[in-house]
Amino acid sequence: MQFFRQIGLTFQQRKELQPFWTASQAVWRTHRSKVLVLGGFLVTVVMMQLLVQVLLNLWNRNFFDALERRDAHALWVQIQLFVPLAAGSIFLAATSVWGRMTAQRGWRAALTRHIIGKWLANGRHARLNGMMHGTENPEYRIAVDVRISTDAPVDLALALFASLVTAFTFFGVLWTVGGSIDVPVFGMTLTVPGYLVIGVILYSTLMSGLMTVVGHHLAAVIERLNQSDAELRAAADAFRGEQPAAAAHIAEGLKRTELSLKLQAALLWWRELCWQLMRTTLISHGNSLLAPVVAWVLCVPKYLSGTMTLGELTQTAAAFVTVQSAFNWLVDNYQRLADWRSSAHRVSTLVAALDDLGKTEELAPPAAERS
Amino acid sequence: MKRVLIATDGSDGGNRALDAAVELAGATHAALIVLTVGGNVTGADLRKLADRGGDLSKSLQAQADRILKRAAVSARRGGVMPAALRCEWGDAAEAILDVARREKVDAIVLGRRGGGRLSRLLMGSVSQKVASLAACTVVVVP
Repeated sequence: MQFFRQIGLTFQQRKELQPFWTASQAVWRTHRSKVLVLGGFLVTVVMMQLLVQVLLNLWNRNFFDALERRDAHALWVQIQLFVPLAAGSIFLAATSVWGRMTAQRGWRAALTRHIIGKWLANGRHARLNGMMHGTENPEYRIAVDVRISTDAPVDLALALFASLVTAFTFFGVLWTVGGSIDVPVFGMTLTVPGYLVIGVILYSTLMSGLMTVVGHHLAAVIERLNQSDAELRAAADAFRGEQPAAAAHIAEGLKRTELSLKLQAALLWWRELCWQLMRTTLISHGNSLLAPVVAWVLCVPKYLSGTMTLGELTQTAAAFVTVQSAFNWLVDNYQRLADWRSSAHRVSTLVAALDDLGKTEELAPPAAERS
Repeated sequence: MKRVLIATDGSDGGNRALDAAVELAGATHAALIVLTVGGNVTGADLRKLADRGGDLSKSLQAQADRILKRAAVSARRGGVMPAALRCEWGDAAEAILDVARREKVDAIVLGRRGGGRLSRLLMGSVSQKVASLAACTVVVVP
């Protein structure tokens, strides 16, 4: 499956991305205690967000049960309970943004300084300029690619962790509150235990399967677009070099043609990305409309037979949508994963080139040192 | 007439325009400049290229080179040696008008067809745009 191919590719490319991870580990080691504290803090925030989500899910049940009983006092109690729950949820969401962005800023700052240190040492920036393939636009790689490559892993890892713990927790809600259902088959009664868990797994598999079929070119198209954008920047960058007056006119004509070609390639990939996103939007938007309805439809037989209260119906329906959304982690994030891989790869090639230059210097020290 | 510009995309319409341009250049002893505006790739081709991890710029360049090479062979067969082969990228009409201005041509020859019905409806045809905006004679071959 294309989505799992994304993760597969990330692991396959671990050798290519090794310089990025090695440099990151080096900067993490120097800020070890800060990394551990922030990491622990972010995990705690995710767990507290999950707790509030579970409490809100329970609140949903109690509120609708009170509504069904037309119990004004219970409704008033639920409304009073909602205020601290909502406040807690809002506070945790804001805290999560602070924690994530602080971690991203710290990682970016340390990695950027680390790379700038290597880049400026012994005049490597001058020697690197246009000399080695795959290291074009070092300024852009340092300013933008380092930002993207340090932003995305924090968000993606936290989202994955939150999805996993949310899915497992709400599986429990679906299993216990949803319970089993009796299905009449050829005059007999078949009891399906945890039928909502089976339902959410089947529904999520169906949606992921559809997305795989419809958007299986998307990741490759994003990668080619990123590559084309990088080539376009390199072609524009070529105008900065000075040419001898006699050759300037011809050289500029060639560069202009090259720039037009690279722009055309980037625009064609952009056009294809538009089509790919339109196709995947058909499924993702359809899913956002369909998932709650499927949950309600699955719960309605038990509600109509009187074995499920209105509160339990809304609680299980909400839990169904929550689990289904958690299952969509990869579907929701593979565009960002592809962007991250491209940026991390560009940072890696720059770091590897700087390391190679460093090794050459060790073998042959710079002229100033020799004299 | 001293300089004739033929714009072709390698399609049947473009080839008919090339034949007409060769005839015109041969009859008037004008220099023939062959132009192709690259970048005409279908979505299916792009998806195939993306899955293979291919280089689109190289593919586009190779496609444009092939069109120009075939056009040059065809022109030579018609008894005219092209004075120049040009390749441009981007909006076809704008590129044709730009080359016509730079090369100071007396006539532009191009085919009427090209592009899909939807793109013609949305953006107008290349031949219509060139015929309206060119400062020289424009021959549109049906």
